[in-house]
This record gives sequence, structure tokens and C-alpha cells, in this order.
Amino acid sequence: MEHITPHPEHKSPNYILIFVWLIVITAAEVGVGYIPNTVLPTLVQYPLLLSMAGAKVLLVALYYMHLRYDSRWFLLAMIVSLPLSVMFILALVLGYVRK
Amino acid sequence: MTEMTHETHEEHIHLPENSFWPLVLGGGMFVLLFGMALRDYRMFVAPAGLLILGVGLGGWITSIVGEKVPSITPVIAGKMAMWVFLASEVLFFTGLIASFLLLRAEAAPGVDHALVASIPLVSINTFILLTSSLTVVMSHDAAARNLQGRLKVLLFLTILLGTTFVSLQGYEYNNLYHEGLSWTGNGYGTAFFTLTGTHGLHVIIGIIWCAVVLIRALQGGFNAKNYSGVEIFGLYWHFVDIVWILLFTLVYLMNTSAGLPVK
Repeated sequence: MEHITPHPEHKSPNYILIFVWLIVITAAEVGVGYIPNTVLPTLVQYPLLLSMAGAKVLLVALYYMHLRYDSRWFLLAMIVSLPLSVMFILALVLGYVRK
Repeated sequence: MTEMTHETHEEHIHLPENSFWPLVLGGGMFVLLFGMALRDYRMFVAPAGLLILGVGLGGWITSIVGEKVPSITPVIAGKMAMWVFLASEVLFFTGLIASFLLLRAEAAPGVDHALVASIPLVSINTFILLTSSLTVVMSHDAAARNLQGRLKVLLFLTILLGTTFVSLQGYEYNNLYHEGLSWTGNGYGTAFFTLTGTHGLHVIIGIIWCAVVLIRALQGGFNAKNYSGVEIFGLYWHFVDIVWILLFTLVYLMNTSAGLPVK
């Protein structure tokens, strides 16, 4: 079993640089969000917006929440809930579409 | 010799004193929710519950802040407990988000122009919350490097940014209300205010928590060897930030029925 230390060697990524990335992606998101559907179809726009939001979530989780450097057990504790979330949303959407 | 000291330190688990404040807080929560469910006396019972809840929370926080030990929870257990709690929060917000998307598809097909008009204000609010995540992670870094002054300033800035976020959200709610979107108007309005309001409540809880961490920092409760209080608070705050990142995209930017067939 992996040994968990109380405070693993404190690593400081460049927090300011990550913040700049977060702001740049947010600005791009707002820009994409304003593009009319006649120019950018929803089928392209929504996956693009979700990808950018996903990139921001990963940046915060990996570097600000230190998942990249911390014990994998913490990551595991979080990951178990994700399949349940996806299943929950799929079930609701499928139920709605079939209604 | 160093190893022995380290082991002795890890074996000692400090537990907080018995307290009746959690009971008061729980009672207040019960009265608040019970009052909200009432038809006739809601305006009297619910505020009373809120008052009891506030007294319970204040009493509990005061008793914790008064502790003269540097940390009340073993670091690993505390962090793991927070991650498990956050996993449960993922499921909680999943339910709220899914309900919102479905109710929007049913009740408000097409683009909601009131929400589109909110995007500039909400973008500023997103910037504010992202900045607060930066101040929190830098306060964690400051604690790990024993930079006491920087730690306190950054925690104070976090409180300031969190309060600004909540204030702007209140301003946005007021605008939306005047545009005709209300909590009780239809299922869409209920889902919107419940989803974003629950997130706002999490920010308010985070502000209170940050204030407690700041008071402990002012009392010299953190140093380079013990900063778990800052770290665990940081995990919560960043999670609240992540939820907002998703809400900003799903609620405001993807502002139609999300491709679902309109019934």
C-alpha cells in the first residue's frame, strides 16, 4: 500500500501562470459563447465549451488542489463518484428523451 | 531520535472537547427547514430557525477558535475526509445540474435572454472567484513556507473576494427578478435559483470558514510543519470554484435547451 505522508514535499507550481491560463480560457469561452448558432452550430459550440470548462477543472484540480502531487488515494476517493454522476445524468436524459 | 519524536507526534490524536453547539446548530437547521415548509407561519418560524442556526454556528466556531492546539484533526484523516465529502458533493451538484437542464428544456425552450444579458456581470464574478482560488492556493503556499504576514493578507483577500462574489450574485438575482425570472414562477426559475443559490450558499460557508482560518492564523495557529487547517479549507474552496466553472458554462454560456428535444 502506498505510504501517505502528512505533508508530502511541498511543491509549488507556477500558480500565477495557471491563473493566467484560467483567465485566458474563460475569455475564450465567453467569446465562443457569443458566437451565433448560425455561424457556429450548437453541435460544435457545446462540445467546445465543455472541453474548455473541462480543461479549467483539470487545471484547478491538478495544481490548486495538488492532486498531481498528492497521494493517489485522494484522487481515488474523488474518482469513484464520477461514474455515478455520469450514469445519473445519462439516465435522466434518456428518461426524458423516451418520455 | 528525530524519528521517535515524529512517531510520538503522529500517535497523539487530539480530540475536541464535548460540545452542545452542534446540537443547537442541528436544531436550528430543523426549525429553519420546517418553517420553510409551512404555509401560514413561514415568515416567523423560518427566521427563528435561521437565528438558532446562526447562534449554534457562532458558538461552535468560537469554541473551536479558542482551542490552543495547533490542529484538531490528524492531517491525513482530515484530508481524506474532505475528499470523501467532496465526492458526495459531486453527486449532490450532479442532481441539481441534471434537474436544471431538464427543467430548462421543458419550461424554457430556446435562449433565455435575461441570462444572456447577465453574462458580462457573471463573467466578472467568474474572474473574481478564480482570483480567490489563486489567493487561497497562495495562502497555502505561504503557510507551508511560514510566511505569516503573507498568509494573513491572502486569507483576508479571499474573504473580500468571496464577499464581492456573493454581493454581485445578489445584484444579478435582483436584475433577473425584475426581468420576470423568479424562484416560484415556474420549474425553470426554481431550478435556476436552487442551483446557483446552493452554490452561493457554499461560497458563504466558505467565507465563514476562511474567517475562522484567518482568526487561527492571527493567533499563530499555523506554521511550516502544521498548516492542515489552511490546506483542508483550500480543498473546499477550490471545489466550490470548480462547481462555478461548470455552472458558468452549463447555465449561462450553453444557454438553450442543451440539444434536448423540446416537448
